[in-house]
Amino acid sequence: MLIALLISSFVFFGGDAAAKVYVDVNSPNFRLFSIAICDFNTADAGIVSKSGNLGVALADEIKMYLKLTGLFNPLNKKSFLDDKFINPVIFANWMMIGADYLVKGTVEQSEQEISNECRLYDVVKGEVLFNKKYTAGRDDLKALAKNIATDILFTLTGEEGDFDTQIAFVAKKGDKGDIYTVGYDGSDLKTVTGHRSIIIAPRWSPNGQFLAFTSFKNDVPAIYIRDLSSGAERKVASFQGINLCGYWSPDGQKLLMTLSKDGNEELYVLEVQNMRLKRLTSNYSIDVSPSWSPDGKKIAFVSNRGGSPQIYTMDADGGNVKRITFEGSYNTTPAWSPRGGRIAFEGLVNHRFQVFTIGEEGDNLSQLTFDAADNESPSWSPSGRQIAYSSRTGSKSKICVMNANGTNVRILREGGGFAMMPMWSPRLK
Amino acid sequence: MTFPMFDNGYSRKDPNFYNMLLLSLVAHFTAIIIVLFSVPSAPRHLTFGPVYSVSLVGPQGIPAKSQESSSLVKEIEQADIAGEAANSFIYKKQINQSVSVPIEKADTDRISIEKAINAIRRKGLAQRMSSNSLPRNNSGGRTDRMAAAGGASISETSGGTAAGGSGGQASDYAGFVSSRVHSNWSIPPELKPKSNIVTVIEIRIRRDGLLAYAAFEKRSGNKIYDESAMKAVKKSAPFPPLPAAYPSGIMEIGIRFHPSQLR
Repeated sequence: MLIALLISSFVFFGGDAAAKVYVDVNSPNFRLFSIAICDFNTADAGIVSKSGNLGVALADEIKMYLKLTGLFNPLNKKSFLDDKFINPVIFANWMMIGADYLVKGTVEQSEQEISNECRLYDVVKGEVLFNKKYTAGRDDLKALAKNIATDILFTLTGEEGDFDTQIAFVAKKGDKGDIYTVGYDGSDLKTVTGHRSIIIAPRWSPNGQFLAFTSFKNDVPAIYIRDLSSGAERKVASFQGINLCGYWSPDGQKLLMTLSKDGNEELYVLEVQNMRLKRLTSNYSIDVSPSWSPDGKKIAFVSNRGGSPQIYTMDADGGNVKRITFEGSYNTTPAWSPRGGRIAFEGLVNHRFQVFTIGEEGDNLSQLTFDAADNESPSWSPSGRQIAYSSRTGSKSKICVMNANGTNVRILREGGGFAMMPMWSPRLK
Repeated sequence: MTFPMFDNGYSRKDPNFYNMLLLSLVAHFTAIIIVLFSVPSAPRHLTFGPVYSVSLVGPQGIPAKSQESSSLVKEIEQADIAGEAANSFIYKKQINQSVSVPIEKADTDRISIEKAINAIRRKGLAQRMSSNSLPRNNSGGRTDRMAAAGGASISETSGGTAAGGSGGQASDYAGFVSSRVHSNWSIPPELKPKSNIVTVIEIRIRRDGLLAYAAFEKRSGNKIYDESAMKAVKKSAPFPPLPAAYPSGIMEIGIRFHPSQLR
């Protein structure tokens, strides 16, 4: 007994008091990646002629692209303590101004091309994350900047981003409308169709080659598939009553649609190759706006079978129908996130439509827009990080883009008319 | 069968043998206890009882960023003021060597030092009065939510070995570390993990406050999240020197990173 006492007293008093301590740190601060982008160095390029500010222009383009992602905060270069010439990099001077990452490099312009060397540094760890050489056509600074921005984003997040995407939308002047596309950065506006008629619901095929839509170009609604490279159009549905275009299946083989040929609006799926049509829903209520899940196993749609328009999901064959929205009296236009897990839709709040997202099981409802406008037709970017939507006030409607949590709203297209029904393209290479 | 040299005349059957043995043990044990209690220059980690020996961390050790000193920082500083003046001088010297402070911040630092010291004096007095009733260092885990630390909390896995003041100091110090790491921890809102994951990073801090080691003890699997946590740790270093009474040359802290308060 005494020996036990001795041993225990030894353990108690003589033991190592330096036990490992665990601490908990909860809830990270929300801050964008702060990145310092130096003007690219053009000094040693004797061949550079009229490109005195090429390095500045390239840095500005990269900044612009990174900003669009809603993940980056490019620092103002007036705050830089070191300039582009200081080598090797003194990381403490960049950390002092709050930079997490640093981009430096050189750029040269020859008669044929722009060549560029770019390094991305992790300022906190003091290491180079990548050092790459790029080339682009002599006047293709934008493409060069886009490639660099893509690499920066991929290095830091492992994601490809949405730089190489377009957003299709319907622009209306009076009654006449057409489908247009615009680049991710809001530039490069193009007209796609020349129908000058009522035209709605543009839907990209997953490979970006086709655009399906409903057009009244022959005065009755019909669904067309347009080959974007050749401009050829194929009419795939022109039944009695409504022919409303839905989403493509993720494998690009099938197209969902809403038809009223059998009485009221029901959902159908069309096999595009062999034109086989299959009915998915069958009841006395209206079923519209079908959207595939990214794995192609489920379909979200709108039905008023419960008394008011609400979002439902079902299996791809039409079985296992489940209502997922219960808040609000009017929820419509579901769009399934390409990342899976969430469905965006528009819902009526205080006589205004606002964009929401909800978990695919009906959990975690989240309202994303709150302004005094009708915010409608949400469409996800391929990365699933951003959502395009139309924002309508009075007789004006613009296309906006926001992060999938409702922040970082920017206007993509505005002015001169009525822009609506944005549909984000897949990545186009 | 015994060797002749052990044969000292006592027979095992003699009850005196056991009495003597018992007496001897008691005498030895008493002697050891007396020695332990009476030698003042015994090594610190052999000292027991509620001796509150503490070190002056010194506000210079705290980076300019945390000037709006949270109450956690104050708590650490409060412990400092109880330390001996002689010690504080030495530690200030050490801090000047290891921690670089922008010169232009010196004045504001001085003001904040004085403020902090006053606050500490008041708080320290109050604490000394009530320190006996403070439930510190229970065996097993202690989860202490420090509201002012901005979402940082400490749980100490003392396993019954943490002793008196130095254990309390260790957890105060760890609390300071966690609050500083939290202030440096950020992630773009869009990239916040949707599910409840946890990343654990083990760090070792040298006596002079330098970060000697930082590595993942457990990865969450979310690369961006893990990276943000490691970045927070690296940004937070160097730390203030370890408390003087801390018995080891290196403090090991496991930092658990949770995406939200609810877990």
